[in-house]
Amino acid sequence: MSTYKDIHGSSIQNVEGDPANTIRGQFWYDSTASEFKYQDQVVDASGNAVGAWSTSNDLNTAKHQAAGHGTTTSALSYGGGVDPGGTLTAKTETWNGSSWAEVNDLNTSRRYLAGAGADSASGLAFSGFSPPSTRYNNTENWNGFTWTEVNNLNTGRNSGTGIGTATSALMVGSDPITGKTESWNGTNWTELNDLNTNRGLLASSGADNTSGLVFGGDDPGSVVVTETWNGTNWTEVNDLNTAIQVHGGMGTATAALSFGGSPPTGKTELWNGTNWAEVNAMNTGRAYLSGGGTTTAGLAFGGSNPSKTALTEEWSGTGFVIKTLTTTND
Amino acid sequence: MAKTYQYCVAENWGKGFIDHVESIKITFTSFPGDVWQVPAYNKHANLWIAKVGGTVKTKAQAQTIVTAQVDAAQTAWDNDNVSDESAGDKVERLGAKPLDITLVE
Repeated sequence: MSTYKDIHGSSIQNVEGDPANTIRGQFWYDSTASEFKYQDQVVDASGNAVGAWSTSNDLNTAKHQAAGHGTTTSALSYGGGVDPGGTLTAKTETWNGSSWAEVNDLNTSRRYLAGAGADSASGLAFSGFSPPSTRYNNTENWNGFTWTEVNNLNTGRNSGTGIGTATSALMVGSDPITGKTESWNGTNWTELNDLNTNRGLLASSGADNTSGLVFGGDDPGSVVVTETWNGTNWTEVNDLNTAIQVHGGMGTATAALSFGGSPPTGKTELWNGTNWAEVNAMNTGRAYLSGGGTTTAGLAFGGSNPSKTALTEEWSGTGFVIKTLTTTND
Repeated sequence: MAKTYQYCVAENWGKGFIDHVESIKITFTSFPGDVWQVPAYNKHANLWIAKVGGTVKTKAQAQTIVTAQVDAAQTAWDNDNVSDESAGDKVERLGAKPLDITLVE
């Protein structure tokens, strides 16, 4: 008869209680409870992994109407409005997986800007607003250390959404409400086909300037509309379950997360490439927030509820549970 | 009538305040004033309150804290004006005026 070690190459771990940082399928003996245990994945009735938000460490500065991008291990937050009175800020912070650190500022302070980027080593900040009526076309490139002015958008605007990376990005929608779409090739912006539903204050997900998803927004009034981008045109697909604006987005065109929004809510919806489903809400609901990552590991930061907040939460789309192995004497 | 929720006051210290497993097992809702709403008569919620050192409040006590915070935020919003700023521009600058919040039993 084969033993556990024969099959898995290691003996069963003997632990007083449960080991830290278990992974799916890990098996051990809890000598305190005298039970064999293993970690399993939490799934819903459809067999989809259940995700949830956990609290994490705060930004150094509470802000809203900022931009951000990245992952749970490497992210960037830039610009926005701070107290008192929504004062414009150029502050930039980097996330290293456990804490935020203040780094070099944007060249132009602004709110309602958009951004794109893979992590804290690269990024692009574009558009934005400064009272009473300045709508920026400024674009700045982040090299991991400083922001540098690069070629401007064709149309100055704010409250749109950014998709992609520092070398392949989209700027979509705006306030005043438009459906304008511009594509960044690493050097210049080019105007392409508009959204089917003009709007601002929307959220998005996507890999680059050839693939993206936008959802929700203000046209005026919150909307449920979702559109997908194939590099040339926008096509309307299935709606969000709840109309929302000034929310966050992360992921790709086929696996996305919508989170937060106004009035301050923690409502979270998961896009599986075809439909939206409501999943576990954020622990602290808020509007005007930023985020980055994927549907399996994401980060949300800043916002207002109703005061500006520095709160950070981490999304894990692979919920787990520790189960006890039961045996019979048959 | 049996309560659906219980309330406590606890300051969110960041990582570990609510972990992933707790977030799956418990539905958390936060309110101004570090007020947290979690399910009543729930073992996991009770363990979480103990873990974070939460101070349990009745619904009425929690409502008083939340209302004070919202009133202060609404007053600050009303008093934060810039000359020649339109109503729409004010919302664009500050976000919408904070809404009243009514807690439920």
